[in-house]
Amino acid sequence: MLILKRGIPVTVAVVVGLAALAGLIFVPALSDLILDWAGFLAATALIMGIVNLLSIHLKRSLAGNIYSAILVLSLLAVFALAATDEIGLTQDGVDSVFNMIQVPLEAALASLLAFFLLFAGVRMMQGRRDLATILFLISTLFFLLTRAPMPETLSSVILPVRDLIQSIVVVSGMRGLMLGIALGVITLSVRLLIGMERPYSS
Amino acid sequence: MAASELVLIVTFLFVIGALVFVRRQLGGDNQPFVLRTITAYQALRQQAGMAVESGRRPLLTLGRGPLHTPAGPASVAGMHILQDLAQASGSGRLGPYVTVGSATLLPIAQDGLRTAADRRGQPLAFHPDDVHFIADESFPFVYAAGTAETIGRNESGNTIAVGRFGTELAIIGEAAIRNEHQPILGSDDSSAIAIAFAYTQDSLWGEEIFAASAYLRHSASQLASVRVQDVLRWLVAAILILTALLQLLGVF
Repeated sequence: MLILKRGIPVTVAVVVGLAALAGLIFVPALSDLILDWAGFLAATALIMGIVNLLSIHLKRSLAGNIYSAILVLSLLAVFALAATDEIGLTQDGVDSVFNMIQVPLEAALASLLAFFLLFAGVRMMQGRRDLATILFLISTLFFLLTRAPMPETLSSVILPVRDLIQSIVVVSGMRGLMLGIALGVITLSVRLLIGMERPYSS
Repeated sequence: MAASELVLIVTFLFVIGALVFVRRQLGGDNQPFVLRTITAYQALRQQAGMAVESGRRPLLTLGRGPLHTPAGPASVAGMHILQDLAQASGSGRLGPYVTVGSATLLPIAQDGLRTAADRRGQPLAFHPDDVHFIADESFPFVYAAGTAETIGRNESGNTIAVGRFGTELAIIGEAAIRNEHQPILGSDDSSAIAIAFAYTQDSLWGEEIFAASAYLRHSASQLASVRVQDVLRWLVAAILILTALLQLLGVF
């Protein structure tokens, strides 16, 4: 029984993974079919996610959390709006809610990032005074200042230096980082494909 | 067959061969192996113990990388940390409280916590609500704000964020710092890596997140994977230098 419990998930994962890889090279239609199945499973997971979200916030609402109550009511209101959109009682109701509430809220959160990063930089200088931190600060200040308007005589000297640093130091560092990530992804993916790695229980 | 497909097959076969070979060379599961120090993993090791001492659970957020997309491996790396924290936690519900920014991570994270509770002989310690789906991956800032709110509820002992994040990691880092946490932040995205560096000394940069299982479990197969990664790195570096030299010499 234990062998079955352990063996079945691993066998399914390995066979499907190898079939998707082989399909990618030899039979693209097979790979597309498996990806379609994965997309369907992801959609099912989204339904589970919404149930999880609703369940957690309903419990918090009953415990007196006003924000959770607002979230539950908003979720149900958008569901109702989607239903009325579908039967023709309203038109573009969900899109309107999305454009009038969701988009401005996301933009507001994104605009806060600049302040968060500024505070993080100040805190970093207060708490850490190692070489990496000093280099981080110098490069941040250098790139910020060289993006500001400056006199012609100064810009003719500084801008080529900035471009040189950007094209040699920054690009090579970024490519090194990306190569490391790609190698990590390759080895982890191969381990998953041959069943050496099992993020699911077995 | 196109050249890119040939490269894919050769790389795949080479990595499998190298993994099997190095795994055999390392022998048993307890073979000693020297890994360079990564402070984030040392800090992570202390999290479970701190949770038991303080009675406050760590908050682990797994990012917004759906499992069926190229962002999946980063999420799997986060899962290793979840499994380690959950298994190392003491009695009762002292395992991590988990938030996810992709629905595909919800069942797998719940499964990880359930398995850990079963292995500790405390199946009742698992509760499905210990994993909280915050928002779909299309809404990174909503996910970050929801996670920040969870951190702000002051239920967690520390914040650990490992997986696929973008610039929204700043919102999570800020919430963690405001709650006097010493966050552990890691991502495979370059913009998030820069943000993680600004927020904490315990940051995991790119490939370091994929070495989680080797650092946390030390099993031969996972250590073999780190070795193979090193070999591949040298191989790529050699190919780059050789190509540059050949171009300098005018060969092509």
